[in-house]
Amino acid sequence: MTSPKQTLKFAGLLTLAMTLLVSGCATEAWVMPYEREYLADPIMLLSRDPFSDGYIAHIYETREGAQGGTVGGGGGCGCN
Amino acid sequence: MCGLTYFRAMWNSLALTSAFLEHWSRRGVVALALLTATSWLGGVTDANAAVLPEDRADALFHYYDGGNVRVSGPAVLIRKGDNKSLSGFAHYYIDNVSSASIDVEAYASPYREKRNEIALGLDYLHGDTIVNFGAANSNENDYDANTFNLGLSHEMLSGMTTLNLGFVRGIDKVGKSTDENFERDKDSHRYRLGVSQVLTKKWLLNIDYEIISDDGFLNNPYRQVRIDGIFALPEQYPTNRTSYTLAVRALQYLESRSSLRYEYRYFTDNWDVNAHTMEVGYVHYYAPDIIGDYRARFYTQNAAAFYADNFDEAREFMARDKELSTFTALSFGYKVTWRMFDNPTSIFKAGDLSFAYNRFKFDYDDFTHYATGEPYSFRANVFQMLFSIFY
Repeated sequence: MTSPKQTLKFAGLLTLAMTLLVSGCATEAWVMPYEREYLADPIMLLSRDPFSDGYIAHIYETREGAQGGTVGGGGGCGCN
Repeated sequence: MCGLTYFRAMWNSLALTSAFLEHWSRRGVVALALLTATSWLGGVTDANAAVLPEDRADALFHYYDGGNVRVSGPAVLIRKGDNKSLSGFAHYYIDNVSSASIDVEAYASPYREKRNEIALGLDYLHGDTIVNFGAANSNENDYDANTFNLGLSHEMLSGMTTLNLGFVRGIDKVGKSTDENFERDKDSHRYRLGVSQVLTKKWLLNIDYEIISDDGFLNNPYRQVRIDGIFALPEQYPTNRTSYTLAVRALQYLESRSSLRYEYRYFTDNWDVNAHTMEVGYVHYYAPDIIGDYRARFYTQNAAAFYADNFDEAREFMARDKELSTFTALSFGYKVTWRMFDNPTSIFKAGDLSFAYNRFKFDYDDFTHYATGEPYSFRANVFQMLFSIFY
């Protein structure tokens, strides 16, 4: 079984590799600001309402063993 | 120019990653300071500067009902900026809890309590960089949580790439309503590294990596473990939990003025809990002023190394928390948002009203009902109503 430390190293390297891959080798933007009409639409936001999405993230965090990596969340216990 | 921006970003990423690997909070803060300094002193700003969050006021009402637990209450948020480089926010949140959960049924009495949460924060914009600071307090009769956060977001490549770094420090006091002399400490450190990337005109990618280290009293002071079928002793957890989370998200714009969101999250920790989360979301304009959100989520995890539904003998570490057992969770959500008015020239530029419903289903493999002996499961319904004004 993969140990947490190995997973940590793998995930850290993956994040860095992705950064390198998607931006590092480029010398200029390949999607220009005037070509981002679709991306600027509110439906392309990860969270349009962080306040209410944070409440749903809090429900998950208090009822599941996993934590972190969410768009919102945190605050207090409210566990049982 | 890009080369310098790129070099700076890589240096900063490596500095913070190094801090992550060393697992040392002071280094995390130092790395954040380094990133801030190099981003500002570098003197390179892209054509598209970063943007502060928009000014808004939210009023939220939430209601949760599931597993004989009901939680409801109002919450308000106000955010206001100076239209230049600063934006501050405050929120207040109330949870009214009424609980007769499966644990409470087994060896305690139903209870009611209230949780109050207040948070304050400030975002500071400089060129392509936003630095945010925040503090929050959450208080209930037997739990007091204080959280301080420091974050940084830096845009590169004309806004194509955004690097996000975060550090959160939690200082909690755990109490016990049946024993006023009981008080234990719980400390937590969270380190976050994230990258958001424009892939094409219609695709966005986001990767988040987070390490959380919790120390101190980590179990519930009321929960008991079962030994040979009898609830005999309180839980006993290790005093450290270190967890690692990697989340990957992609957003795709569709021709029909709608979007698809794909998410995967992997979690692992030193208690041997491994979890996978998969989520899909779909957002669609029914009309120019009405948006519908749909989401489906699947979650699965295995039990912690020291979890058992029924121990055969007392051990050093023992847990009977269903959140540390083997289980799956399935949830579906729907939200409709109506833009009530839209007038960019007036003081109140826009107003939204939204209703959301989420349905949760939890099925436990090795956590049984204390009376029937059957594997436990429960369903939960969550309703939210949100009113937002943008100004």
